[in-house]
Amino acid sequence: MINPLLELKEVSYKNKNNFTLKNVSLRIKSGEKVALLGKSGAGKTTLISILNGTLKPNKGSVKLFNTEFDKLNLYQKSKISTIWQDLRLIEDLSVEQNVNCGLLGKQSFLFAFKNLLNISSFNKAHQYMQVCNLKKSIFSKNIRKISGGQKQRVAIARSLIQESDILLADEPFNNLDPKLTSNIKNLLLITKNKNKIKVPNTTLISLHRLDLLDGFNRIIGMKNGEILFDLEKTKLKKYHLNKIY
Amino acid sequence: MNKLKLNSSSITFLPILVFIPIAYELFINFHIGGIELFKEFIISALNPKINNEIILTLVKRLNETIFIAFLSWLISIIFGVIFGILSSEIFYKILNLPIFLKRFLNLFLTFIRSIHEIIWGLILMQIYGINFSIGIIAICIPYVAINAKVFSEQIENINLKTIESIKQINCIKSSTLITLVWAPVIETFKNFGLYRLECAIRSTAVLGLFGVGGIGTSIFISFQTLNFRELWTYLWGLAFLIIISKELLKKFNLSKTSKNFLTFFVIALFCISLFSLSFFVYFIFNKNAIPFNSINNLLISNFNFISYDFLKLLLETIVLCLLSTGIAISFPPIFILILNNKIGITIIRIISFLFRLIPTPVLILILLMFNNPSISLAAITLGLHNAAITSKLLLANLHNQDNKQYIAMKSLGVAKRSSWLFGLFVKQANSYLAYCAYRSDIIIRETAILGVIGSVGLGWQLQESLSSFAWEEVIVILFAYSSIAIIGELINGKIKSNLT
Amino acid sequence: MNKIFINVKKIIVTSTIFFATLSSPLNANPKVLKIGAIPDQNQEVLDKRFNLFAKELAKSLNVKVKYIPVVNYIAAVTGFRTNDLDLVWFGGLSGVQARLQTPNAIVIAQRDIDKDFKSVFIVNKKLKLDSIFNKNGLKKLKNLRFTFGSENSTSGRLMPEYFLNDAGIKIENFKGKRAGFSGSHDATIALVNSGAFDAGALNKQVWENNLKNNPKRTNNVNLFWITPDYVDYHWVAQGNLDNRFRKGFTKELKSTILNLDIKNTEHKKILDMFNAKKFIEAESSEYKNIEKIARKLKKIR
Repeated sequence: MINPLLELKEVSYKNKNNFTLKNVSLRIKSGEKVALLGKSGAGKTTLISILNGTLKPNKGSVKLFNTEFDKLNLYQKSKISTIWQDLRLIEDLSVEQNVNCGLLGKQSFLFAFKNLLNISSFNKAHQYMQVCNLKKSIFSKNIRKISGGQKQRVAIARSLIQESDILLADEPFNNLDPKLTSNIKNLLLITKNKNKIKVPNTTLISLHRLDLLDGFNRIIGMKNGEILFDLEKTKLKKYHLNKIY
Repeated sequence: MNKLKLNSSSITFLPILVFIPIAYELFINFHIGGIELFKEFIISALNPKINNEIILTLVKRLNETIFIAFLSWLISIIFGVIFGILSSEIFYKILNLPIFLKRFLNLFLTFIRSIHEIIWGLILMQIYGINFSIGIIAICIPYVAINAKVFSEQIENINLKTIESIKQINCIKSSTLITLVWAPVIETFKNFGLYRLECAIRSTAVLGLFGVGGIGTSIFISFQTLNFRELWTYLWGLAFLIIISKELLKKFNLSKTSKNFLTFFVIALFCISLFSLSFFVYFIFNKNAIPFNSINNLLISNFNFISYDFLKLLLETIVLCLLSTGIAISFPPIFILILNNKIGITIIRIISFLFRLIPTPVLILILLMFNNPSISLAAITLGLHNAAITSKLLLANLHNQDNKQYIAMKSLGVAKRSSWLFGLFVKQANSYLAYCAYRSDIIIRETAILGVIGSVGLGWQLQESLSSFAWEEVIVILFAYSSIAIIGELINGKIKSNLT
Repeated sequence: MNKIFINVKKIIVTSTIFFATLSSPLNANPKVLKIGAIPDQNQEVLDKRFNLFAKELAKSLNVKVKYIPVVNYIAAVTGFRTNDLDLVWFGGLSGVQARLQTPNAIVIAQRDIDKDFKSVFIVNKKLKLDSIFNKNGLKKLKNLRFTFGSENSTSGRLMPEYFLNDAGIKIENFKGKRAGFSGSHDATIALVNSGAFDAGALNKQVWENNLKNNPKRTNNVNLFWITPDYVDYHWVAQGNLDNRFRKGFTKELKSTILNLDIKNTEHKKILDMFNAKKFIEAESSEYKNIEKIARKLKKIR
């Protein structure tokens, strides 16, 4: 049996007074494309924050490559990349500088410094930005001056440039029009692409649009901080969805 | 009867009330004894002394001033950024350090900036004697702390969630830190740091009055000997320097510079910071322990203190602060309101430039020609100098603001002044008051200089104690000063957070 | 990348030069005799006087001598304490302060006139005050705007304040409950002359010089009173000069100053600038009275 990449064991997370996650156990194997469904407030964002190590669970354990999260080194941790729901780009830096920030995990301090001074190489960043359908004209614009949809794609480019093994994405299709949505979805889910860029093999994407479920092979439904179902795509039935919405 | 509503625009006008007691005291102390001297002073402004000799001295003094001001500005910006980062929460979040270190550092910085650079200069002069470097160090000490405060305030505005997102990329901590603080630091440098050079030039000039060198020394000496024509040569020289430095810095644009120059610039900054640090250490230890010992000897002298009315002086200083802050807040909007046309604004600009140019010690000496020394006189001097600074900011902000509402109101037939008040000024009132709160921090420190020149409050006692080399008194006075300044800063912090 | 390294090289070189120049005042050559003076008069006058004096010293002692101008009395005292000045022309009070703070300091000499030095009180003509003949007349100065010279001046502040106190007048009795500090003797004359202050006190020497050379400046001023005499200015030197220069250096220095001769034209120029006929021997014990008065007025604690 293949070891799971990511493993949650009976994880609970308490936010001030109420639990946002209750006893969640989850194993994600290499190569899986997981869709995470649920209403707003169901605990999707909390789950993703726990999976990438930003939040520490009050109870239970999180393991990556069979190792406790706290014991991982920086290199191992950099195998996870995240697209945040609220994007979390760095204001006042340019688009290309923001995308280059994704490379910081593999580069030295000098690179970070050169990036800020605008004298580092942007070739790789440009390549990823083009893949994300960003136009050349906005590459050097300040991040404050671009539209919401463009920001969304900058955040996606930033996470892809990390060339991680696991991609966690929190509602990455917000602000995108239908054509871009399908382009970006294909980019995130189809590992072998014509662009010759490396896309994470394992993906977990939270959604609330049911029409986007093609291409996933596993569906997880959440409600009130609990996992209600965890099925292969083919076994998903209408009544499952009724339970969570 | 309608109740007077307290909003931020009425608060800016209300402090004009302080002018009533000031005007009263100035009136009863008024005399025309100095009218001849004053006439001479004004006429000399248009007729400064110009000959080869004085131009040579002027150039030499200006060179010294530029050197001290520029170097201390640069060092204080560099270390201001460093301490600003060190005293912001982000630093401790990213490096996982205990937060009490931050509080400790903040306390230290608050103490340092509560004491005016003049006083640092006077004290350093006592320890290290007459030395060129004292000017630089004396300016740097409070400036580093002030800059650190401004930078850290901006850095604190970074969204905590952005920190998490960068942390999650799992890069080394130093990269995370620099990437996050870069933009706020650069922005603050552009908005605030460049303006500090003007402040540094002015501080150098004032320090010169106390013997550190540079143009201030010449200004003070020519004033003391009542050589007004020479005085104006130096004052115009200083004005020229301030204007030129501002124009040059306006041209300096960080984003448009070429890449090679940028690398050069960054390396140069790095070298200067290393150099200044080593110089500082060298400076402290080069002058071996002898002066410290002699200071110790002086401290053992008799301790029969509180022989003078310490509390009264303390109270005087506080009253002086309040009065001059009132003037600094309310004068600019009132004058702009009254003289609200092109010519009026130009007059205000010229007058405020003159009040910024003439160092406050010289200003009070001029006013002393017509008045006996009193708190009001010191308050009006300090108030006018600071009103000149706040009015500059207010005019600039009003100018940059879009004036649609003003035009709309005017086209509705509202009187020009009312439409200015409700269309333009109301929008600026909040930020103007917030700036004035920051300014009053500075006013508290500046009361020291006026006192030193010999009129009121703790500053006067400080000069007296320093000139009698009574160290235990100096220490008590410094302590009193910094506690006033720290309390003032706390109150202003509260006011500011209520305004925003 | 290569370019960056070239820049680094440049910067290291420039910063080294920079560092060297900046630190040079700190490592100043110990073989230079640095003289200073309290700034009691116009800086131009002082510059001329002490540059001339420095030249003469350099010639007869065969060492480099440099005059370092000082901006205020405190700086002069401090400069002496911190060894930035080797030989200083102090007033009575500042000299006592300096010697109390600098162990081993030596009194070198004073002028002939310093043994019985005097201050004058002056008043603006508009007040129509007649001059007085004993100190009790000082009471007439009550409720006038009064200015001293510099805070630490002996003839411009300490002794006048002492005589005023003797006559029963405190600083609080002046208008505004405070006296002004003009900063220098010349400024006192100008301020009283213009009417900015009603009355003032200053060095008699400077007063007489102004009467003679600058009658315009004293147009509106009347002499009010001349004080009894006291000791004032003197040369004070560091105690370690023998070690630093050569054996017997302090003695040579002293005799050079004492041997300035009014018959020699070069020397006459210097002595004229000092308003003296010659320099004479001085003892630190002569200044005991000044110290006592200074302690009473809390200028020394």
